[in-house]
Amino acid sequence: MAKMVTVIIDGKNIQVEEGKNLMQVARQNGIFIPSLCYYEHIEPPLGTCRVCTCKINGKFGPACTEKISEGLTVEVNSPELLDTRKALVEMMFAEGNHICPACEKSGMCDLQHMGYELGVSSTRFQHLFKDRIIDFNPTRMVMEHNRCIKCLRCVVDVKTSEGKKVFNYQNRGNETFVGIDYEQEAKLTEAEAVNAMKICPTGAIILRGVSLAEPFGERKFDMESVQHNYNKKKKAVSRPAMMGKKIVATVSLAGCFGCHMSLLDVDEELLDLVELVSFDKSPLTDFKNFTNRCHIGLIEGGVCNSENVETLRKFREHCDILVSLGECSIWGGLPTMRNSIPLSECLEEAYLNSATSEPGANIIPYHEDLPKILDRVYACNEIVKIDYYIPGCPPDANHIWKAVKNILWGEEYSILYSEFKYD
Amino acid sequence: MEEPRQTLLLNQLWELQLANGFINDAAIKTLATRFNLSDVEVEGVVSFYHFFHRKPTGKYSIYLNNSIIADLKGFQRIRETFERETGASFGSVDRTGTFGLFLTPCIGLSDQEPAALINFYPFTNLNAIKVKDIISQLKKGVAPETICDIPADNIRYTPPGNKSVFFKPFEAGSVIERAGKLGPEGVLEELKKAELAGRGGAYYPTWKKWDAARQQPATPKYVVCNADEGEPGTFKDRVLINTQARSLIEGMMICGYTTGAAYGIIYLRGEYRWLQHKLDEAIREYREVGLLGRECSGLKGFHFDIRVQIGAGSYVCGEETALLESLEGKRGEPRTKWFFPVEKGYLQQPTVINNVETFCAAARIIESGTEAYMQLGIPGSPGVKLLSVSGDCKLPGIYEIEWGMTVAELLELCEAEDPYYIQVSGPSGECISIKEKYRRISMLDLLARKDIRCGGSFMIFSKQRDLVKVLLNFSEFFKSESCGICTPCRAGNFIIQRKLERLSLGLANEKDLQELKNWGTIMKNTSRCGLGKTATNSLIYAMDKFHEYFTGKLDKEFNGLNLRFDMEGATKDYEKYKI
Repeated sequence: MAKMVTVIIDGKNIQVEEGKNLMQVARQNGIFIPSLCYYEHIEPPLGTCRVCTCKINGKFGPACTEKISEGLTVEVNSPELLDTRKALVEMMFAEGNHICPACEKSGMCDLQHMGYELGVSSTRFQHLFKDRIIDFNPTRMVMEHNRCIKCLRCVVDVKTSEGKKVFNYQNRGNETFVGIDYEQEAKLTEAEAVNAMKICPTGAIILRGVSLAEPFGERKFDMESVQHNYNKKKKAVSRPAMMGKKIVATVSLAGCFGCHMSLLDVDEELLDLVELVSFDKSPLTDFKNFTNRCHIGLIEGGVCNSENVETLRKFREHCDILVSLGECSIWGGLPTMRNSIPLSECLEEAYLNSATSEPGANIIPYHEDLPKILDRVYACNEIVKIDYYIPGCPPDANHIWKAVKNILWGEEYSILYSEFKYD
Repeated sequence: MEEPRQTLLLNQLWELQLANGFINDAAIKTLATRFNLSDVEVEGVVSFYHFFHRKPTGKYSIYLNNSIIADLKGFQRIRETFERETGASFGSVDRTGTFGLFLTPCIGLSDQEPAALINFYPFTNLNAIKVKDIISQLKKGVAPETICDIPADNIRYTPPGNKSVFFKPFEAGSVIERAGKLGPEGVLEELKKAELAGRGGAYYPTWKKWDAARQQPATPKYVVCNADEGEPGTFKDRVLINTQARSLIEGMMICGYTTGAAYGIIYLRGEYRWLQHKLDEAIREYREVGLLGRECSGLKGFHFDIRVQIGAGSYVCGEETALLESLEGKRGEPRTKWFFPVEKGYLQQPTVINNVETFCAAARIIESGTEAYMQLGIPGSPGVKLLSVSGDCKLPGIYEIEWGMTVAELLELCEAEDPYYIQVSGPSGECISIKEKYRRISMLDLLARKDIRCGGSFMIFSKQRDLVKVLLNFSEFFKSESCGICTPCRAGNFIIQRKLERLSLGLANEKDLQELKNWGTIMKNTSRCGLGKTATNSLIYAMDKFHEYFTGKLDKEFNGLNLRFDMEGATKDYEKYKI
C-alpha cells in the first residue's frame, strides 16, 4: 500500500496515495478537469492535447503528467485556467475540419463533448481550413484526417499481435498527421479494430460496416453534463432592460434556412413572442429592405459571395446587436467543405464536368448582375463585428429564444446542457 | 558500445539518402523488416526529418537557407538565380534530375550569408555571379566537395590581454589528468565554484546535473553532447567544433569520469556534416594514444568512448528529450516531464546532456582552475560567453565576451549599422530595442529584467528593416519546425502565422494585437516543450517594446464594426471567368 499524502486542489485538502496520477485522483474525487488524450491504462501518460492544463505548485502544467506528492497544490478553476483550457479546445476545432453534422461520431465524440462542457460557442481563432485527405485505402478502416486531433492514443495503444504499430505520426509541424499501415491494419482482429475506433476521441478512425449510431438523443454525450454544476457556473448579471416592443431582423446568407426553421420550433410560445417583437427585414416577412432601425439582427449562414458581404454590412449598419446563429454563421460550417479546394476546381466540377451537366457545357456563369463567388467561405466575424454567438446545427429553439430574450430584456436564463448543441 | 538496433536507423537512412538521393518504398520495407517495425513507423521517422526524402532529390541537392539573416543579405536574388540557372523551382527537381532545390532554416552560417549546402557541403557569401559559376561547374561534372567553401571561423573578439578561455591551444590529456587528481567530487566542486551553467540557453547549473546523474544507481549511464545548434543566428558551436574538438571531447570525458558514464555520443546536426571529420579525427587520435577506450587516460577503472550521431534536419531535436528520441532512431518528439534525462534518458538510462560550449567550458575550467576563470566576468556571473553576432553589422562573427558586457559595447565592437531591433538568443529568445542598449549581458537578474541572458545568437536589425517581416519569418520557422505532438504548438504557431499575415497586409486592428498577445501567452503556458513555450516570446516582447510601430501597421479606418475585407483578393479567382 502506497503512502497516503495530502494534496490541495482548489483550496480543498484531499488524502490520496502518493505517486498516483493527478488526473486520476481528480476524477475519483469528482473534480472535473477537461481532458482529451488522457486514457487511464496508457502509461506513461501521453500529454499531447494539453487540455488538462492546471497550475501545479504555481506553475502551468498538464494534470495528466503529474505524479502525486505530499503538499502538491493544484489550481484548477481560476478564470485564467478556464479560459486557457477552453482556448485549447477551440484550437482543435479551428485546426481540424470538424463538421459535426456530417460526422458519424457526433454525440459520441470526446472533442464535441468538451466543446459542450466548456461552453465553446465559437472559436476565437480563425479556422485554418488546411487541406486534408480521407484515406480509404485500408481494408476495414477509413482514416478521416480532417477530424484527427493527434492525441497519440491509437499510435501507442493499437498494436498487432507481433507488437508492431498500426498507426504512427507522419511529417511534422502543421503538416503532422497520423498515418496508418495498411498491411498491419489487415492483421488486427475484429475486436482490436473496434477498439481502435473506440479509443479514438473523435471520428477519425471509422470502421466500415460497423455502426456507431445510437438513436439521436441517446448518444453518450447527448443529454447530460459530467459536471454536477453545469448550469450554475455563471452568475446572473442584471442588465437594464430596454422597454417597448422590439424590432428583429433576420437573414440567411450561405446557409440552408435550417436555423430559421429552428426559430419556429418554440411552437406555441411563438404566439407570445409575436406580441413582444416585430420583424423587419427577414425571410419571415419577405421585406427586402430595412424599414426601421432594428434592435437585433440574427444572421444565419456564412459569407460565400459578394452579395453576402454587402448584406452583412447592411445588417451591421441597421442593427444595434448582431447575433451569429448556427455553425455556418459562426465559422462557415458545412459550406466550408469547399474551403480547402481551389475555387476553379469547384466551379468546373459543378458546371462542366459533373454527371448532370449538359454534354459540351462550357460556361461557368458570370454576369455583372450575379454576385461574385469568393475564394472561400468566410465566417461572419471576419467581415463585421459580431456581438453574440448561438451555436448548433441548427441551434436549439429554446437556446435561441433564451439568448434573444436575454439580450433584449436582460432576463437571465440558464442554457441547459441538452440545449447547447452542435448538431 | 552495445546499443539496441533501432538506434542505427538514422544512420542507415542517411546512407540510403546519400547513395540514392531518396529513400524508396523498397528501402522502407527492408528497414522495417530489419528493425522489426511496421512500415508506417519507418515512414514516420523519414518524414519527420527534412533531409530525408521519399522522392528523388537530384544528383545535386541544394539547400538554400531562408533564415531572416539570409533574407537581409539578399536571399531573394539568390533564390531566383538558383532557379534560373538550374531550371528547377524550389521544392522540386529539374527535368533532367540533376538539381534539386530546397529551402532550409538556418544552417549555422549566419556570419557569411547568403549560404547554401550542396550535397551537404557549404557554399557561403553567395551572390548571383558566384551561383552562376557554381552551377556551371556542377553541370560540367565538377564534384561539389572540390569547389565548396571552407567557412571562416570569424573569431572577432576575445577578452583583451590573452585572456581567452575557449580559443587557446589545448593539450590533449591535460584536462582528464587534472580531473583524475581532483576526483569526481573535486570536479563537481570546481564547476560549482565557477558557477558553470548550461550554455544551450537554459542555464541549469552544470554541477547539479552531473551530480544528479552521479547519484543514479542505474548503469550504464550516458553522456550526450548536444551539437544540434539549430537556433537561427547561432554558429558558436560550429566554430568550437572546427577549432576546439579536443576540448569538447575532454569535457565529455570528465563528465563521464564524474558521473560514472562510459559512453559519450555527440549529436551533430545534419547541417554540419561537413564538420564531422573534425570530430572523427580527434576521436581517432584520442583512441590511438589511449585517452579513449577501456582503462583509458591512465585512470584505473575508467572506460570511455565516444561516437558521433548525425541529425537529419530538425530544429526541435535541439530540445534535450527530443534529441534523445532522435538518438534512439525515432521521430524527434520531446518527451513529457514524467522523468528527467538524468533519471531516465537515452535508452531509459541516466543521461547527462550538455551543449558543446558547456563541455568546452567545463574542460577549460578544470584545465586552468577556477581562479583565472573567476577573474573574468562579474560577481555572480563569472567567466566568458560565446556570442554569434550577425545581421546589420560590419563584423559578424564570434565574440567571446566577458559576462557583464553591455549591449552597447558589443554593438560598437561589431560595428553595428544603425541598430534598432536586436534579437537575443534567437527567435525563441527575447528582442530588445536600441533604447535598452545599456542592459548588461549576464546570467543575473533574470526576473528583474535588468540584465539579459543570451544563449548565443545575437541578431542585429537596422531601422530600415520591416519588423513584421522579421516576426513572420520566425513564425513560419516555428510553424514548420514544431514537432506536431502537442496542440498549442502545432495549431498555435499556424494560427499566429495567419494572424501576422493579416497584420502585414494592413487588415488588422487593435483587437488583433491584443489577441496575438493573449494567444501567445496561452501557447507559452500550455506547450509541451521549450519550442512552443518560447515561440511567441519575441512577438509578445516586440508588441510592448515597439508599440508605436505596431499601431502604425493597423487599419486606420476601423470603426469598431466593419472589419477591413480584401474583396478584390477574395474575388480574384472568380474574375477569371469573366466573359
